[in-house]
Amino acid sequence: MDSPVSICATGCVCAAGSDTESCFETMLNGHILPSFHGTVLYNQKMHSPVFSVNENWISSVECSPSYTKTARLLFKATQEALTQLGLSSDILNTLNIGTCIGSSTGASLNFKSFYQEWREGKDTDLKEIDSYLCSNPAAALADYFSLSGPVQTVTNACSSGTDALGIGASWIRQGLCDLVIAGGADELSEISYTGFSRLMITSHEPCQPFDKNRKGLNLGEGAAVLILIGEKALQKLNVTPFGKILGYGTYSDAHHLTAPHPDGQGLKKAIHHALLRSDITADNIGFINAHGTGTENNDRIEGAVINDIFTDTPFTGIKGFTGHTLGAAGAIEAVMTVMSLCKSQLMPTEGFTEADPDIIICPVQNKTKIDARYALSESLAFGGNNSAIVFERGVA
Amino acid sequence: MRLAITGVGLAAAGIDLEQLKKNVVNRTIIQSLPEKTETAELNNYFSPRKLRRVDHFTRMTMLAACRAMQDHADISQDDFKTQLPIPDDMGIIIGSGYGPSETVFDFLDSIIEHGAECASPLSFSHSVHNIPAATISLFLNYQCPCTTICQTYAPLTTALNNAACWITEGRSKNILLGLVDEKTPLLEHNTKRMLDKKASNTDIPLGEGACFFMLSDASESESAKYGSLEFKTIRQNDLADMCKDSAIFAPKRTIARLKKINVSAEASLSADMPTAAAIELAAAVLYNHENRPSVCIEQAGKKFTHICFHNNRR
Repeated sequence: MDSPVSICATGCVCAAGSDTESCFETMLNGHILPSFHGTVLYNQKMHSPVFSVNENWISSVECSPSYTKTARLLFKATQEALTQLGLSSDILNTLNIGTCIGSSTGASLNFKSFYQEWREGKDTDLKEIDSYLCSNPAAALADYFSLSGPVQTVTNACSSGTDALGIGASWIRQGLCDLVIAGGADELSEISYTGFSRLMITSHEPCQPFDKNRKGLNLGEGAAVLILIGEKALQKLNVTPFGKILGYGTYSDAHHLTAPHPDGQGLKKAIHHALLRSDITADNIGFINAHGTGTENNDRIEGAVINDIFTDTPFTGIKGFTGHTLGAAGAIEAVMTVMSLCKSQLMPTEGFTEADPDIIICPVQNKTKIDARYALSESLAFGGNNSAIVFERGVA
Repeated sequence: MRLAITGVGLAAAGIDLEQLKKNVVNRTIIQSLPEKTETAELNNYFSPRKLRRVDHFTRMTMLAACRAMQDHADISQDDFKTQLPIPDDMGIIIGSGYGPSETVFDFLDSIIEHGAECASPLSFSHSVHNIPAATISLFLNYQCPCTTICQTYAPLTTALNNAACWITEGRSKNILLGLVDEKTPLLEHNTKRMLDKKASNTDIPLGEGACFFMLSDASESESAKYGSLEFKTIRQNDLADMCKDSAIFAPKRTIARLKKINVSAEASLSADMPTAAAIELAAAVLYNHENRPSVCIEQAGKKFTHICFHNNRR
């Protein structure tokens, strides 16, 4: 069993809002549409709108050295969480604080214009390389906030955010840190946009998770973090946790590099381990925050796994509000799961209107009052990686 | 934190484990070769047909991983029809400074040469960081916990931390832990330019390679082939005292920094790569296996990670 790890603050920024509360409010009561964002290369055959973050929301983040947008999104989310925690920098400096951040494009050598000029024999300005080198998400976060604990950038594609939370919780349990800033961050990238388009899994319309007429995913960008705290620091700082991470499970499919196992074997094992390590059963789970990308494969298999393991457990997918934020997705979904537990409200699955007979079960369609003690968030990724994590409502 | 070492595997340009051992014992430094790492031996483990779409980064990863598994099982591999023995309840952790660089550039090439609408989806999917770990899991037909780390900040320390946590929490009994980096013409060019910009007189050739370890719980040290390792991240002031009476292995790039704090270390391989500490760890393990005390050091920001060994034969 994984001993519970307390959550004492959250931060979130994505297309749905500039902080945790505004994202949650948008998801409960608002609507948001993806748009055709200027920095992404479009042409007629690859025409898929994206969920971008308003540049003004992160304009207050210092840009020197020249951090990537991924890093600036992460700093913004972390600043929110640290403000919520309310500790002075003097106190923070006495603590051993680790950074465990999931990312996909944030750690990739995606500097196309630099590369193109290098191919042409030009000695291009090294600014883009410097920016890449100083912006590795976990390392940049540690550097930006002068933190001295362990540093880990998890690059497990779309499950990175969930995995970073699972690993960060282990650090607390093993006594490696007093606090861990764990989460995920990813900016929109022309390269990943082209890649997903060429795999033909993007939709030219707003995505429709679990819907019969779903056509694919929309990419998005954002960052989210949870501040995890150990027992000693909890008592020392007199902080009241508002949620807990319980069990975490991760398993590969060993089936295909870009398609999930047809029986969802890896996902089932990840969920099984997360529940077992939480010392609870599937019946105890009050709701599920699903991966729900809106692609044919993901939603069919994920739906079948949920139907197999759980009985009438409500589930929702939030990518109709955020887009698929890749390495940040698991972290954003985790923050929203904790918010739903705390506020006893579950958001509708934006984009879902018509049940798919192949999936059998339907996600939540309207804002729903819930009374849940435990919730599960799950992520599926390229490479056949599957991860699941259980949260418990706190006392606050 | 302490972990038993039950296997080591290496795939790097011009070096195998035997040669590394010989050089380590003689305390001679191996020069990084300019060519790419030879991976043809991978055909002894998997069918060439199955391997035909596997990129160089992943091939290096797989070869070093297979060699570590083979070393763990202490068997010879006759051909790919021989089943590679997988340790009980194994997880996979891979760390890299830059990830699969060449496939990223292949994808960029395909965009530049053919336009975004004809770019190669295969290059894109293979350029994702966790594909090497996933490919090992897929080729072994083995579902397990897998994670990939990408950072230039202390990648070996980070991977060891992750392994220790997973083993302690019972997520896996054995961890196949590897560090990998590849060189590409662009990375070589950039490295040179950045060193020139800093007016650095360091002239260490960019290297590439993969180095894997099979690790298990420290309680199994007695029966472990290479005993156990113990690692701790410490302040630089404490380092010299902890390294007394041991041969010190560290990445070539770190040697000058260590010298400034009166720590006299040597690199076994003259190569500059973010994951060079893994090859130095292999060197230190092999040196220690010969009943000669050794430590490995990796820089972690302003601190250092000190890795020492407990040899079950002493």
